[in-house]
Amino acid sequence: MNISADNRHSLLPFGTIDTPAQGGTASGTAYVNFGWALAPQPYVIPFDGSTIWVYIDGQAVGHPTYNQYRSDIATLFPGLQNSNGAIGFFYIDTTRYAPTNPYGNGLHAISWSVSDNAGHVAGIGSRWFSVPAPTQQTSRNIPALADTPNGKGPPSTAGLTCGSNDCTWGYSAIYYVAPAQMYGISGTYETGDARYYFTNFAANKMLDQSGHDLGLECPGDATSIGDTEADARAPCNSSQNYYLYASNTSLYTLVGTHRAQASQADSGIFQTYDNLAFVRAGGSADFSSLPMGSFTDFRYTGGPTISPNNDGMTVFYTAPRTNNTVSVHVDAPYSTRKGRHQIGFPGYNI
Amino acid sequence: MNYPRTLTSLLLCLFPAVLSAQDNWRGFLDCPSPGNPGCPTANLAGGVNVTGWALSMYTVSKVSIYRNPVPGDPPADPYGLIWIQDAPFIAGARPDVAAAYPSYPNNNWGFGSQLLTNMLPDSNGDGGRGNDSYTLHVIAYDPYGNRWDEHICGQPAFASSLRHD
Repeated sequence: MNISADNRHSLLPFGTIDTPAQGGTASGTAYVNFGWALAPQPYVIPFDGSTIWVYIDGQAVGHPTYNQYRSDIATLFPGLQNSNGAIGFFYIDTTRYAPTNPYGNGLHAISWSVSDNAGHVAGIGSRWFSVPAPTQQTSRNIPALADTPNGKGPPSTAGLTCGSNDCTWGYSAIYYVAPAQMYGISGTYETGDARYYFTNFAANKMLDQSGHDLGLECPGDATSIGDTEADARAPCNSSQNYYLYASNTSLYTLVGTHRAQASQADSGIFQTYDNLAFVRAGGSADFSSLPMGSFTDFRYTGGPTISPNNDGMTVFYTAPRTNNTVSVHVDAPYSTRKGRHQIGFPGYNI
Repeated sequence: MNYPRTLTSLLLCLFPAVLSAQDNWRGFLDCPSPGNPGCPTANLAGGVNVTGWALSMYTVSKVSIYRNPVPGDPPADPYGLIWIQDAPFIAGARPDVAAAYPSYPNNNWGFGSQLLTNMLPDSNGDGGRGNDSYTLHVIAYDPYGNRWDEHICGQPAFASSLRHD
């Protein structure tokens, strides 16, 4: 079959849907439909995603959160108005589409319709996906962590070993969260505060400067970090929260918190990244080259180090031991399942 | 040159009676298709739907989309092609096919994949993306490694790969 393509002169937006995969399966109440869209120069897709529509079975179901950075797309298609924010995501409550018959295949169609600022419209990513019947859903690979960023259960000292100067965590259990909750990888570690800290929930990340869902925005001072600006906004959540404000995309990302009291506190950031390869069970990954922000080095001297195991891998972090308490929260985008996953480290009293 | 394969193909062309192994295949490429106004083949941009159906009495394990190499490509596969992506099957998508071929297994399965032309290297090797001409190959496989491709009998296009009866 011979075809000819002429994207050089095309005026139409283009892109695709990444999840669900073509013919893939979607499940859960907050399945994350990822995609990306770009427009040829000089056109731009509005950053707020208002001109991108998600269609399921021909029905418009909403706009994705748009203007998210992903390095591979930015590298592959540089110089476009949306190159540094081509990614969008949309939550789907797939239970609305699950078959009532346990033997049903729950087959559905999804697509995005994308318009640029000049009114050029293109459909992207059209595909089938299936939603399993409820009886077919499993909870595989979702261990009952004693403590996770979702706050389930009390802190545990499992996996923690401490020397005279520092403590190291090793935790092999992996707690699955929806991929979008992992976008904008961030973390916080504290020393000297008995409270463990929850961060990096989707609602707290990538907030729209135009005012949507800026529940954590509070008065505060700011400091510049390269091309971006980190705003310390207090009081919020009983602490001072650090946001990474990307001036080029007008997005806020909660990257950590600074405890003004209880002595020592540090915050760090994993800059947003989305280009880590999927690592299979028993595989390994090197995080040593992850880009880091200008905060205190979150990795510190002892981590992270990665060890493969049968369920994915174990991550070890080391943080300085100060006073009597250390606390670490780490988000890590890997697992035996394709997609990003989250590992939560509770606070430890030592 | 894959001599055994070439010889087999030649024999199949010269002696159609031995085509039974191949003749169990049924299928059709709906898109892209010169004969389908909704699925053009020229001046494409952005995503292109590659859809159709394929049947084998031995079941079809996968359908893969390939293209001919262009300058600057990595080494091609043993068949001289560059794999692009697989087209997943969707069970239940083709009740019309099931009605037409009730004796075939998985006969209501269709395949479909969206090929993003922007991701293809320019066929002139200039380093750009998604411009000029490409030859696509859509090849069906059964679980035993048999592949139904367009090289049999020298027919150039997909129609010989996934024929429409």
